Amino acid sequence: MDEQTLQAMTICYKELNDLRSIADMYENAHKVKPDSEEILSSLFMSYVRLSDYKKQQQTAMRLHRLRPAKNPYYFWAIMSIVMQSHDADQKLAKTMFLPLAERMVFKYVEDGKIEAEAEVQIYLIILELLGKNEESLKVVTGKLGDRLSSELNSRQLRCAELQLALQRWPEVNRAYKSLLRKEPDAWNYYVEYIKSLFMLIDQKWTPENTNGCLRHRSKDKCEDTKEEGTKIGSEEEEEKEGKEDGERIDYTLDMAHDFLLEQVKLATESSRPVRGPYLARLEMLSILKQRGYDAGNEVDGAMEQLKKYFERFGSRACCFTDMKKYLPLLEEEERRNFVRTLRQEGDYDKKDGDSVMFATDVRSLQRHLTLTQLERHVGLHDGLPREDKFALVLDSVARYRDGLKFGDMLLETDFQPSDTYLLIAVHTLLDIWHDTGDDAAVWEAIVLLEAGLVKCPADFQFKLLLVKLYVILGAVGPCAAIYESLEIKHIQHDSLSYIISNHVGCLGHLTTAMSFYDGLLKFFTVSHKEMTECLISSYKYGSFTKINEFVKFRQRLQNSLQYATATVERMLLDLIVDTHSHQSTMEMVHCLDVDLENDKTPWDDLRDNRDMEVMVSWDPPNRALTEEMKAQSFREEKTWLKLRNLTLRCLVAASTISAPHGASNGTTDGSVTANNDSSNKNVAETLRDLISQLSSFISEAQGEYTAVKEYPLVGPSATPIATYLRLHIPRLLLDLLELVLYVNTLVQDGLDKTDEKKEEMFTSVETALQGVLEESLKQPPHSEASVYSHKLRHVEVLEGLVATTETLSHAVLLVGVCHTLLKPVKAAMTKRGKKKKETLPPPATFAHVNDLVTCLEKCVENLRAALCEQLQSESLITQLNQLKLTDMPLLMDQEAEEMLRKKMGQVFVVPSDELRALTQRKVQYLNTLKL
Amino acid sequence: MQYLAHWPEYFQIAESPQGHVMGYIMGKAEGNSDNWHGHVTALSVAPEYRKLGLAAKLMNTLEEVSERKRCFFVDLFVRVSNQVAVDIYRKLGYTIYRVVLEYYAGEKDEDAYDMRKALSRDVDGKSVIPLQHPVRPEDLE
Repeated sequence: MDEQTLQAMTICYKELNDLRSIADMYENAHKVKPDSEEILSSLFMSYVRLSDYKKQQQTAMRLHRLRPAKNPYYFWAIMSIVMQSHDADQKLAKTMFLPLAERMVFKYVEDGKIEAEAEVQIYLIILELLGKNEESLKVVTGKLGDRLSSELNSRQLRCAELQLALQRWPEVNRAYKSLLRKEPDAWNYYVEYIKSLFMLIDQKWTPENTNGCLRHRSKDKCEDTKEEGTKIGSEEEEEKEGKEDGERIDYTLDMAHDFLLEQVKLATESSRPVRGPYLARLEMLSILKQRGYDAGNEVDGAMEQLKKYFERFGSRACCFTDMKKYLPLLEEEERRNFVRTLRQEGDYDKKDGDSVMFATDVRSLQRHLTLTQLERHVGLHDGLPREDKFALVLDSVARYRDGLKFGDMLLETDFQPSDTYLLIAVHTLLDIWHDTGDDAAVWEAIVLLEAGLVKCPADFQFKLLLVKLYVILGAVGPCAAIYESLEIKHIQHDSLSYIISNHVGCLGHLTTAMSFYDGLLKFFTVSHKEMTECLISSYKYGSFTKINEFVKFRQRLQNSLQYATATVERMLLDLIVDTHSHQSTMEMVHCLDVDLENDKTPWDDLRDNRDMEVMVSWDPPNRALTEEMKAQSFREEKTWLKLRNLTLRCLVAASTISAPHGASNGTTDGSVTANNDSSNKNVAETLRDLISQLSSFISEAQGEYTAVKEYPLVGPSATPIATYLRLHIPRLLLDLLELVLYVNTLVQDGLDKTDEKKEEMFTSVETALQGVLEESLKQPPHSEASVYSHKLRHVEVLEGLVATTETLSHAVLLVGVCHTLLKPVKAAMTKRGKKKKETLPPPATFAHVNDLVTCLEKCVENLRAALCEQLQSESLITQLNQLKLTDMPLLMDQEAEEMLRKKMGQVFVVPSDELRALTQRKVQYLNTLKL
Repeated sequence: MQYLAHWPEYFQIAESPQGHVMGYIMGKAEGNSDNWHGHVTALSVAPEYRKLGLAAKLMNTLEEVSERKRCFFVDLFVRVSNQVAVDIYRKLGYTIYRVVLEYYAGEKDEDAYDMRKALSRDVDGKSVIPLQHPVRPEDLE
């Protein structure tokens, strides 16, 4: 046994994802070589992989006893105790784990054995968890605090944070003020400084009326480690003045105003543009307004401040976003007037003649752009008539095209300075679409963006918008390619995949969907492994502050909605795409290895990690994506996931019922008596339970989700749940599952138990099947409430057709289950009949199953025909050819448009081909199902 | 992520008042004896927050952290085509120490400048005396 072999085996086990075996292996190795530090250390790491904190602690202590001089081992044990406290309930954490950890560190402090910054960090972690801020402050300001040196300002900042936690507002004020002197652009410091200011105002604090606040303060200046009681006269004087370190405590608005003016002065002297102090003044006004003051009348007034900000930073790309936060300082009409004034004073428009006055440099271009963004945001674009909106589009496009000259020398990875004009043009076109229902606007928007991408392949805003617009057309093909070109990395798989995840499969790109979900799932698996290795490194390098962060981050990914959704969707695809017989379905079910008893979806902890801020928008607040909409979308996603999860589990449970379990025991009357198979009973019970879950799910969802939810363009998209409910797919599934249960009961209890009432279910399922198909071929009803015109309604029809294809495949699977259950019974009956030379009348069930198979065959055939007809590319081309904004000659980019028409001609070929191939396999499947 | 576990002090992020990530820097300290240096692994500023001097601020932080670790110099690699970045680094006191051939793999491999700035410990600026000949990535120590 040598170290290399053990390492090689560790790698193998890691690949197999069998982390437990690594620990077992090192346990055994340790027994053989109890004095080996390497083995014991590897054993510790193997417990880190398993998050077995208790074992970690024990192993670290063994290491400590083996090498008492090595501090890290002792602190590994302490950190392992801290991690146990995170998992334990609060009471146990605070009475047992954390005090133990604290005592262990304290022992080393007392013995003067603390060696490293990491050891002080761990002490502070423990004290923080125990809420002992006072003690923390002593550590930071004391001798141990000298070790806090690797991070910039770490000691001073730590002090400030602790004062904040202790709510010692005078000290907080002074501490952050002092930090701000060093870093006049550090926004988070301003936030705390302003917070302390208002607390002091509320408490009517003055240096004379300290309420003992300052005097009770431990002597906790960061740079000063003298003990309490050593103050000399002059220091006391200084305190009375509210000053220390030459830093005055600001407890009135005027004082804060003075300080911020000093900071502004500092900012103007800086070589780089410093926004902090200007924004801090706006922030102060904002809080005053919240508190009921008239911000307009306060020092320098809100309008004046905003104007100054625009003057100073208007030519920076961040100006709009910065100002947006503070525009609510003005009333709605004031806001509009303010922006109108900016334009008037800016002299942006040519007074004589029609041509656009183009910017002469990048800064003036950006200044005009900021103004345009502001105009849109305050609603100045909203009320415009159609012609004026067109004019705005033309103006923006012209400015975009002219602005390209400033980007000649840029790298491919850089954005063009004028790109935002194109985005504004597109947003305005979409406004026109909303107002008029003219689908040509969507088409033109796509043409503009595609041409924009040629000039700037890096602009992800173009790409994200294009994805949205192609989805409106129901064309996933280009979306998948664009999504690919975004070069999504790492955590973005989790935060951005939602852009296409709801569409790729549901719009019929099955192969793309499968590889998309594979990619996503791979990210989650790989990340989990990576995070675990990071935990190991954190122990190795003593980065204790990061350990719980990594653990939380890993948890965040494990509980991701996208992860849970991808898992289920991938399996649902597996279950239908390549299955062409009951046997192949059963093989797939075996591979999927679904745990029917335990649903592993973390329903209560599911997290919405979607980043919905990624797409820019300058829409007025009344059209913006709200927190409520995000929450609503998350609820909808969870409901959709529930439906998909139940569908999958029901299908798997139903298939499992038909797994060989004593079919040979079939007796002549068709019942299975011998060895009364308990596993069948268990599965049947599970299925019954799942069916009742599905049933209550339908009644709950029906009310809320029948209509398609609509979200702003830059927000999430609706799930296909409305389509499923509109077509009554869950109801059909429920009926089919009931049928499976009934057939199973018959087979178990004997065919003489045939129930006429239940036999009628066969007919009603047939009707329901035909109903779903017919409904999916109809144009969906136009929602009155919809803001979209949907002349181009391919997307809804396509979604319906794909849902129907999937549902028919599920029906085939379930009828296959019935067939498999009945087949041996029928065989046995025939055999017995032959022996006795008399023919028993076959139960009606056999005929009913056969009828259902015939009905399904017809449905699948009809669906195939519909797929051909609906997805014929010519019809779309015809539609597209009719689309043209003829009154927008400037907009035309013939080349881009031609290219696009060609591209669009192809977009429905893939789903059409894939869906037809799928139905072909289902026909094959059905051919094997005759009794 | 591994870097964060190893050199957490070398990570800095700049957040805007709206909570947007304006930019970030990550780095590490490595090397032996007089080659002990800080290295800029990644520096990124969001397009909206460019031309605000953020890169300079983030670089200062990294240099300061390296000073505290008693590094001799800070180095970084940059695409030779990335003129904007090269200019920024020049302004911040970095000079081209050497060219690393085909350092960036891609459809067309690209050379990198290895740019360096001496810290206070390297009093004579020995670490930044330019190499006359380019090196290959596999020859980097």
